[in-house]
Amino acid sequence: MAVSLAGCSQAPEEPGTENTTDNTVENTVDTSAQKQATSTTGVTLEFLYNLNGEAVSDAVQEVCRKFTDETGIEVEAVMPGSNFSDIMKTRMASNQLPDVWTTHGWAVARYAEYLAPLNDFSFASHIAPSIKGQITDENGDLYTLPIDVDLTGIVYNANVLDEAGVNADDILTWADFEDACEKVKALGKTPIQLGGKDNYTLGNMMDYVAPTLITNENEANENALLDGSFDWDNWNAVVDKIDFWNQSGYFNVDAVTADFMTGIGALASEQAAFMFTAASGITETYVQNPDTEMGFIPMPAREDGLRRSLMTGEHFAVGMSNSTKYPEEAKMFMEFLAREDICSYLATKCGMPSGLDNVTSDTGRLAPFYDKYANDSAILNIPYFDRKYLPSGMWNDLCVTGGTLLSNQADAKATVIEQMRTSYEEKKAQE
Amino acid sequence: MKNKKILGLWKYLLAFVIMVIHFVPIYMVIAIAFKSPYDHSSRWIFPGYVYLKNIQTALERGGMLSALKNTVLISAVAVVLIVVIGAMAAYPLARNKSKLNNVVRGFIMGVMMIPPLSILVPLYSYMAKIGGINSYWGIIVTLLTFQLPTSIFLFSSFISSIPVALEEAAAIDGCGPFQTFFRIIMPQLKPVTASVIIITGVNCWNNYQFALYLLQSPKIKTVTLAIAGFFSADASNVNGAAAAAFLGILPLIIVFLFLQKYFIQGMVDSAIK
Repeated sequence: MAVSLAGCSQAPEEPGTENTTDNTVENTVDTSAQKQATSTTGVTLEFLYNLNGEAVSDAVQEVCRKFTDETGIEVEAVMPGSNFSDIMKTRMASNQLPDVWTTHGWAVARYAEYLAPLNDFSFASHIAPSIKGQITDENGDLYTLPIDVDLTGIVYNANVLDEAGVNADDILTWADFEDACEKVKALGKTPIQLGGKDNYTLGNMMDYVAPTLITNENEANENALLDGSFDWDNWNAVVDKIDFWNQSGYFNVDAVTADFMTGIGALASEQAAFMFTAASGITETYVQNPDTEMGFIPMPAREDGLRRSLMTGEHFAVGMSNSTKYPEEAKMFMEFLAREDICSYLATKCGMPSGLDNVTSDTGRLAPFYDKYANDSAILNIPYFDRKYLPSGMWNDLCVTGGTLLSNQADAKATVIEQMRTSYEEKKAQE
Repeated sequence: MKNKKILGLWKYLLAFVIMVIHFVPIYMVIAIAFKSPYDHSSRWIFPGYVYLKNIQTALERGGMLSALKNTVLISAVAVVLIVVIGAMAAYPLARNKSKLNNVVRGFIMGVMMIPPLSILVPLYSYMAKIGGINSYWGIIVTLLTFQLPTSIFLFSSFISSIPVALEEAAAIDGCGPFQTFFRIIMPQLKPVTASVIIITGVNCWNNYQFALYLLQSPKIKTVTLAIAGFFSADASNVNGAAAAAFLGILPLIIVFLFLQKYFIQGMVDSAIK
């Protein structure tokens, strides 16, 4: 037993760490803007953020230290882990907000009441058009500084698709996608990897599939979802699609019990083809196996003749409290983050396109995909479904109903539709 | 005779199963903590090599040394207060069987029934108002509040079983209530004190829900927060987290191994009384 449980006798070779010596904030930022270390002002800003990748987290800490060196204002940057959203809800309820925090897609829908409008900041005129509408309310108030922009499709492993004889660019509709899944399944590999233990991965799947079947190029459904008159029998399209994938055996066998990182491991070891996750999932995959080849495709259209879509939204976006004790210092920090060299450095570390049109970022191995899709008019740029069309608080319903669909219980489809309908009506009534 | 043998065998089998169930999480933590993040073999498989970078990551990136120091400080102070205040509060409750004391005892026991997270928002608001966020005293007072009922319950049940004659003899010899408590009663409480220390000490050490909200400064984070810091929605370092968890449970295991004789004796004596 001991022998069977003992793994390989040598640790696997670790990927190279090229460029790490030069790629620090000290070597990347505009040195003409640097000043001598300033004596401390005694002010400490609290900055709560939700980005945990080692490279990104280190970059955030480095930038905060740099700000302190230049201004004498301390910044306590805190990353509280996966409970970030719960902590923010508690702090909103008790009206004890941090001075600045990352708004993770909710600058307008959830945090607008607590955020200071940023219209008068110098960066306000440089917000990238693809994100501007999502971080500005109906009065034209801008609520967050988008250091980068999330551009999300379906992540895939190119080596697995090659082996299955699938060309990712040929996947234009869900029918094409299902053909590709069949070919991957025939290889004995997992077509779609899910990590239901982290149930947000199931929420992601619902969130990614729903717009393609419900709202894309369907103004009637868009309006109905927004004004509360949506007929939830239409949700059958989403439910049937996912149930069909489940019954066809496209998901990993441990779809309910595996976690997100297991999925990343499956992609890295070339055992799975597709995953519904943001492009940051590709970065994580490369951390585990830099020799594999990853990419992402837009969400397929529901039928021929309709456009594919990519979701755009906030990723690393920072808002400033409207009740901070240190408004001047917080403003200085926001302007510092938007400075071209700093913003470029942070967006590059995230591997995402910058959210400011005067800032460029190096998106590394993802650059060809961003270049290919970012300005392609044949592809719809859509907001995240739940953030735009569902009342606040329904994200959890997407996650839970995703799990119900995978449970194979007899009345799963009817249960899902009823839960979505009930929750939607309750939360709409509270708005 | 044969039936007795079979029963005995079942007992051993059951004990073995329980032992395995308890050992599996510890095995997993150790296996993952000493495995390279680039090793894609099953997490059940123990690495055939020793990989110490995860420990280094836990110490440097996770700040485990500082987290251990904070956790030891918070747990030690909280447990001392829980024991002293709990015993002192339990003594009059156990000895004076008045209606008022019954109400007080019922109220204290009632606190045990409150799900701590249900009062999170008012607790957080209040602690923020009195400056208890990101402070040692804030988390200690909170832990004390939620652990004291357990302590009072255990102490008062135990004190009720001590003969009153001991205190009467002390009173005849001229002891006041405080002298009686500290010189006569406290020494009798050793067994139950061991139980209180174990139960509340482990609760304080493992506390996550209050620490998560009340201790947000990295300078004051505890072991549980340091481990949680390795996870977020879109990136996780499971190996680093396992290494941090390994370092986090190590002090408790060492303390228990050295003091298990006293703890087990204390638990047994407490049960017999």
